[in-house]
Amino acid sequence: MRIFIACLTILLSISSALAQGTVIKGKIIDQNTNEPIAGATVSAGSDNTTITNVNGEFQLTVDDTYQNITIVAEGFASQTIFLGGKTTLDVSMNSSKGTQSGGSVLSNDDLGSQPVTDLEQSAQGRAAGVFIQNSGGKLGQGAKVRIRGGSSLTGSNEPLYVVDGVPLTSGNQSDIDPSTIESMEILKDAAATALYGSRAANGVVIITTKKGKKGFKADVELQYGVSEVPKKLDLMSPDEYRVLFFEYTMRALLAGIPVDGAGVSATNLGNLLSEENLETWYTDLVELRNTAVSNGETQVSYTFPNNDELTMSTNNPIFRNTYNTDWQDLAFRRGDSKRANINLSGGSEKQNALLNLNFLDQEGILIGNDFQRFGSRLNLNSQWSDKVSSSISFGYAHTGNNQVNEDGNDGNPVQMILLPPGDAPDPDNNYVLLVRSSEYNPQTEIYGSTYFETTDRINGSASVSLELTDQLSLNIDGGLDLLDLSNERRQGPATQEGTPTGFSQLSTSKVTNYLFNGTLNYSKPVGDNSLSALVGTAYQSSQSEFTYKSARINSISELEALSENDPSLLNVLVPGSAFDFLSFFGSVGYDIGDKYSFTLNARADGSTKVSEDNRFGIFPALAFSWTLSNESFLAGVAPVSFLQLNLSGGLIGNTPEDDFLYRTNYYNIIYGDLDGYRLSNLGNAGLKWETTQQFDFSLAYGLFDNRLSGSIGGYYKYTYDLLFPTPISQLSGLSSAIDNAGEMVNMGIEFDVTGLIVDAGDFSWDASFNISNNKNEIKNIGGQPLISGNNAFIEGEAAGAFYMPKYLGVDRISGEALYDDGNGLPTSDYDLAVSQGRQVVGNPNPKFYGGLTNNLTYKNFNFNFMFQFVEGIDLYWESGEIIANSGYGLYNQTSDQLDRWYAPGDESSNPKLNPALETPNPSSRWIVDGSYIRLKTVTLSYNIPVNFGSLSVYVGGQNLLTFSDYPGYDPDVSYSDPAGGTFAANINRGIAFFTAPQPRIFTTGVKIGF
Amino acid sequence: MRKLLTYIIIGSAVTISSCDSLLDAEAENTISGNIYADAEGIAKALNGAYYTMCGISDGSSGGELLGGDFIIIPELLARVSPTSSAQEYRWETVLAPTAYRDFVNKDILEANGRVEANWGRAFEAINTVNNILANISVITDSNERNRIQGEALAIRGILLFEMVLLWAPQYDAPDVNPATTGAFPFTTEPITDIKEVPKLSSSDINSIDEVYNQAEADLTQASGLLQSLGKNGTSLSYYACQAYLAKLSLQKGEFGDAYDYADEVISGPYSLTASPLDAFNNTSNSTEDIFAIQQTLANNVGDRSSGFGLTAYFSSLTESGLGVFRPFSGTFTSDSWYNSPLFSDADVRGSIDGTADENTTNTQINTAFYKSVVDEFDGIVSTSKYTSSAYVLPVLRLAEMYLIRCEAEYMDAGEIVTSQAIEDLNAIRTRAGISALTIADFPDQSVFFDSLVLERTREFMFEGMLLEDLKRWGGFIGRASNEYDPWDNQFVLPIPRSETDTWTD
Repeated sequence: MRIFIACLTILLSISSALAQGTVIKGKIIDQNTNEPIAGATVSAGSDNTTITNVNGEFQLTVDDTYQNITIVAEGFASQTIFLGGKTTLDVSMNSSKGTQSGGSVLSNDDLGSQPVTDLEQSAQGRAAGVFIQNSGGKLGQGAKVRIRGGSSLTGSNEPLYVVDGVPLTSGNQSDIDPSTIESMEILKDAAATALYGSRAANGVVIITTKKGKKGFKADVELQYGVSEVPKKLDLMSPDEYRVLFFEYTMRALLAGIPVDGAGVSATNLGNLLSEENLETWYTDLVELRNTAVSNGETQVSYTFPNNDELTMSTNNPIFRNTYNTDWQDLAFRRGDSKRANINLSGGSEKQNALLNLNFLDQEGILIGNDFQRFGSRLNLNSQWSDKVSSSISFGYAHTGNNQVNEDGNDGNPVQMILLPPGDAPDPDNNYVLLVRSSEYNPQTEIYGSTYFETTDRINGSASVSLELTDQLSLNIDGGLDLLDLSNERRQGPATQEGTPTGFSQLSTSKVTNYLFNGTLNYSKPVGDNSLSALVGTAYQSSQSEFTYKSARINSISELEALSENDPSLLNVLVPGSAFDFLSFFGSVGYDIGDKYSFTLNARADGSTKVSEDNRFGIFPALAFSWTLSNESFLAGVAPVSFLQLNLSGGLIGNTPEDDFLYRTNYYNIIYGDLDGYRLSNLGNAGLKWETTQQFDFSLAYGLFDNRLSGSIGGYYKYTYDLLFPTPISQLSGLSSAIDNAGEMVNMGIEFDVTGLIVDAGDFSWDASFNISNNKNEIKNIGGQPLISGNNAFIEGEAAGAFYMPKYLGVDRISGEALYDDGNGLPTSDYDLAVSQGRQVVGNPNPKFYGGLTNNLTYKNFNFNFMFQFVEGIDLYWESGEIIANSGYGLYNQTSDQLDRWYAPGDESSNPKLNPALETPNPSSRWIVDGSYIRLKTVTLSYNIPVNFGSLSVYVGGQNLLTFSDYPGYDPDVSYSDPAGGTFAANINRGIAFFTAPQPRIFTTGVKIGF
Repeated sequence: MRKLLTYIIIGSAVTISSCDSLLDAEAENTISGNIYADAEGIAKALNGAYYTMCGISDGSSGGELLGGDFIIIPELLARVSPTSSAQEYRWETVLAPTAYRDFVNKDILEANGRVEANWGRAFEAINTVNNILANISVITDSNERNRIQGEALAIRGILLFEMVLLWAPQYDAPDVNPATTGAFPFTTEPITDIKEVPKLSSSDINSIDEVYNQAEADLTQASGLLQSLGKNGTSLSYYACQAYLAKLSLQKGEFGDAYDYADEVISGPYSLTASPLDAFNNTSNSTEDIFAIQQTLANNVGDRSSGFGLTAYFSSLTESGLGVFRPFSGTFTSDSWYNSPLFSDADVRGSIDGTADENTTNTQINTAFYKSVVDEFDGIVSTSKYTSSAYVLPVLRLAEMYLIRCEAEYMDAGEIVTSQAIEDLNAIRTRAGISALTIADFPDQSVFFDSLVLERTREFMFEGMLLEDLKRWGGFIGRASNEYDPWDNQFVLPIPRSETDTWTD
């Protein structure tokens, strides 16, 4: 660290000694004619613009080569291009929006006016090759983002987020307000990701925040929204449930399972069971029982039509569950949300600043769930001289989040829906159920505990650009990302885990992340051609510290006050994490005329996450671009206005998720008041980089004077040296060790098109559509499948394929569930099906996905709506094990479970109610089609003509309509318990276990500009 | 300009030459490298081995080995729980890992999660002590070295013996030849790196004899090293080794040795508690604890909230347990069950508190059993032996030494009742409130054996000993209409599939 600071000091002292800037050079041409465009405005922010000369050439000094350049020319669609460290910028202009190779750009137009409050939501369905799947509908829960498929089994598959040049380390983007974003660029191919190195193996999301402009400007946006649950499940009514309860009791008695205070003689009663008979008998029985109670009797006897006799206590629960409760109404609520966003910007040509403040206060649709955010950002840009410029970006955000329990936990509010509708909570007795008091009511948890998380994040960067000569420029930037997280959890004495004294836990995380980048750029025209080169170095140092303490007391403040050696205090010395990255990289580009462009990148990445012997990995990439429309043979082909072929290929490295896996680690334990060590992992001195070979092609096109444009592309990614927990003999004390032991392939095709459909004076209509697919296949993991719950890593299958017994329907004679015995024959022996018949029964990856955006403008009205779709995806609706399982465990059931087997001969969709069933027997019975089409966002806005700045009002909605066969709440789901970490997120895919849906949100707002 | 380039070159040179020190990340609370290089590291590793052997919970796992499953698994196996006829107990599957259901059903899959968890954890402890023993010479203080070496050997011996009880057929059962019948593979070589992990095959399975011999050798050597240290605090002591040697000899049918070892422990510094109930639910070792797991509120084998461990399953008290294990008290006095304790009214070990409810706390329980507070069904009770995870958990009690000496004496004498044997039996009987027996009570000598069996069943009820006792005695499980022979293969835990999957054959 000390050396790092020394290096930084030296480099910064160079920069202060020599005040210069970075020059961007390039040429702007017309795609159709290949003629240079004179007079085009090239700008890096409003204060820094230049105009192209008669040859279409320009030269612009920028303070940051990692920023957007906007080109505006009369008669052409403007373009915004992310420099990505390059110093040459040759642009072909067309009359509608162009497409860039290797990436997708979403501008603020796509993001800002949406009624959404987090980043992933705002990008869902908008970019080809980017699959965004929500973990669930809890506030602050986040989403899984996969750019061109996941390429790691044990490491994170989330992309790298870079905010104004600073990569975020903690992976939590929920404190970024989409309305502060100027543009978001998603880098996908090997060449595009080469500049970010190993951290970019899963793609890069480059977020550029809004910058200041010349003069004073103030923008204020206020938004109000209402959230509600988008769907209610069709559950059994209280009456239907009471009959289910009666059947359960009867079947228990008939099967010889003892029921307190009850007995039955049963000759052929089992054959008489049917939905109608049970209903009739139950009605008669209740009547008899009520008479018996009024006569002061404690037993009731009932004679069935076949003369079998039932005797039972009048106090049996089947008589007592007389309440009518709609648990869904108690679990969900209508939530308000309020958002405000203020931008103040001002300055001169040379110096400008922007201050953003944003507030969000959001109530979730689940009781007990809400989220608050305060964010701020200050951006300062300075042009000190012709040669020197600098910029500073500094952000601070605070979030507060009242959380609810993880989905699998009994205290999760969504689990209320499994409670009997014939029962009711007792608010005077901690919401314990009045009849079945042993069943845990999540209300007891929610109203009897607190679960609050706060985060504070500082994210800042400073950069200096120096123009050393006409050809040579130097760019240096440094950044930091600090995160402080505190999670307080108190469970009161009435709660399951808090009983009887209360239970308080306090955990904190502190993440410190420093970065440094330096690049030296060179560019030189060579006749009609141009040469550019870049060398650079990047350094990142990250440190995370965690604490955890708990005690069986009912107060966080008392917990904090406990002394270190208090015997009731559990203070866990949680191992921290730390890593350093050091990279050297270079790039050479050569453009031949306006037709061919070559770029060669190479990096040497060093990381402390791999063994000392394999610290540095070398990752080269090559890109080639051929603008066919500039060739003479296409010059006269009428509909083609632009055609460009892009090819790239290269290697990308990835490191393990966990630190220090190459060495043998231990962790601290306490036994009998003494400290000790316990083995954490076995060292692997040969641990090296996980490497992906990636090949990409794309054909960008513009037709009919570019009214129709887009691209079609594809990729093939082969990952080898895949880090995988290789099984080892447990004589070592562990069952696996991480080794470079696998291979995996991702390949896919992406297509997008944007068209200006109508352009008739006051009215215009443009639309864009994208569709992508990705095929993921594990090629080699050493032969043995790795199974986790109902998912597995298996050779020849997609990562996370569903692997479980295959359900074959109902045995008409016995009413039992049938499973494949492994030989394709039905068996009712579930254990046999588990041991012999488990198989791949579904794929949690979609066949294809995409979105369709429409934007209609009429005079001052704008109407924007977006559909998003996912097709051919399997989900495991694990909630069905409990609530769609023929009455399992006497939980409430979905109404379709009325169609179950009652007596021999019944042809039913569901097996019989089996009171002896001890486990829900997971099987493909609950593998469901998770395909959907969703009206994701709708916004209608009106620009009110005013004589100051601007004023607009809008109404909008989110998740308004969903078309799907999915039986649960929301097919946009993939829940894995965060406690399982990255590995669980990679393998336990496509699971919904009482997972909250995305809310349906209605919003209205006003934007005022001065 | 030249000056600038010089700066850049110097800057780059400094950067590149200092790569190694730039890549030197180190995180808080992490321990790596050779922890066995000094006495302090070895002492901490030894405490880690205790932690592992005792099944202390780390939040995501716990309750294995001595701290739970070595009691729970044999208890579930040695009693019957059919779903549709009379049962000795009910096991509420949904409240515990489903793997336990295999033991209830007596059909144990090779992929059983609890078998895997115990297998892995046992070898983790064994590997730790193998490392300690390989590096023991770095401890220069000879007293300290002897203590640590002795305790490390004791841990390995105890675990190998406990494992052979579960993972191998009974030593002297018919069709078993201990010299050739396979038990499981083990190693005494230390492993610290992936390269040192052995590639096993089924030919590496050690015989029953090899496991017993290693356990016996370890415990014998440990006895010698620890002898001068007496009770050795709450750690494994000379007496704990002698006690385990008594158990081991008894199980092999070497009754003379068993007598001597048990006799040595009985003459040691321990004494029976006044009442058998006093031997449980203590905040520190009782006078009869030869070895006990030192649980605290914060560090224990698992509790209600973690959802594993003995207390979580066996206690139904609102504050401490889930009441997963639900014995039927009706079977306690019914001779239709082979292994009924047949408690008499006077026996405090059979006393039941019928008034317990969800507000009852562990300090209010003064009986051996209490009415289950989570299952209203008539006759379902919970044992009071493990009412809180904050109490020490007895592993070896002096009472067992009396009954071992009694059994060894009787068997060694050629199944003849001696006054010494009756005395030992009476030591356990009288403190439980039931009458002392005399030689006159045994006109038929073999009746004494029945009395001894009954006494062990009563005294160690739900302490995980019945299965090994039945295997030694050749007794049966269940009742006439639903009986099992514990010598059957289904009562031997399989080597986990996750282990055999790594083998070369």
